[in-house]
Amino acid sequence: MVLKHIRRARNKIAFIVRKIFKKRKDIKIGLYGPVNSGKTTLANRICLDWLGEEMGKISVIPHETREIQMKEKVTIKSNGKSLTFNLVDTPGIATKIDFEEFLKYGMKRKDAKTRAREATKGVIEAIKWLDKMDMVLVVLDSTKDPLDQVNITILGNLDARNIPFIIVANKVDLKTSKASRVREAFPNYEVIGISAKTGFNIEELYNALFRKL
Amino acid sequence: MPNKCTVCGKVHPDNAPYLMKGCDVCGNKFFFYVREEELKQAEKDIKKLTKKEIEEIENDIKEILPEAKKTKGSIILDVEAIRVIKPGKYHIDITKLFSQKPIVIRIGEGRYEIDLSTIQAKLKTKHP
Repeated sequence: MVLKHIRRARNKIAFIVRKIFKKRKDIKIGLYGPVNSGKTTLANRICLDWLGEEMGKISVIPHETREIQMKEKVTIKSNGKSLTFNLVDTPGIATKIDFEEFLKYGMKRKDAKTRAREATKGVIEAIKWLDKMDMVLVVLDSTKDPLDQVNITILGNLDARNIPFIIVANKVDLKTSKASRVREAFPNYEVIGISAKTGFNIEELYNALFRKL
Repeated sequence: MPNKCTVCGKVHPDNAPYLMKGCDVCGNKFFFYVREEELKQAEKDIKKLTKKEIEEIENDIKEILPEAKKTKGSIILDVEAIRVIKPGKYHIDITKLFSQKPIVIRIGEGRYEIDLSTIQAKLKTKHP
């Protein structure tokens, strides 16, 4: 118990020191979340809105993003203010990765095994990068149960490390979406319902970034 | 704790010189890290994976953790954050990965360990 408090205090001090010494231009915003929650779609939306180009490839096959991708110097503007940051898209975090899942999409056995291996490596890399983030957007699929082990573990770790974050309840354009369920599951945190695909309510997310940073 | 060679299956006593030189029977440098009480069970479990599967998994681990590829010493394997059930099938304990402890991988039903902090410390010593 005492150790837990010491660790939290140490993390908080480390975070404050990072904030003091880090130049504003080095701000990193990370996109974290489970597999296929729309992290890369959101990264693409942000990059399209402010840079005029996409960031990464998306796919219906899980674990399309298997390496950390970073887009530098993304500048967003709102109400006469501007904010520049490096946008970091991370591989989806999962507790099980099985190559047989990829076979269902017509992938060859060898390619599916390679994808599983790379996806596992991606999970390790994503978690390693967490401490480099100044802020995190936790992208959740609002059509799914938010009380999932992956979601709770990510949020718990961000909270413990004092890394500011916003929960993005994505895919609100889908009929089965229930952003309210995400809000009810995490009442102590800021939740913004958006559709990265259509751009619905994305302005609210940009405003939230200004409030948090 | 005793260590068992993943290729020929020879069980070596703790702190034996083979850890740096490789198994004295087959030269392999991957070993199970086996607790005394679990030794009998591990012997049964490892038989569930074929030699080809073990080789495939070992190569996958080298890709997943490049630090393991660089080391010339032996890699001791035990149970923790990642379990490789079969080639291409992984169970990941994300809580342990988030805890920032050394990354440890378990293969199949046997017990394997990769302690990155140990490997990195060795590399720093060799290449300061």
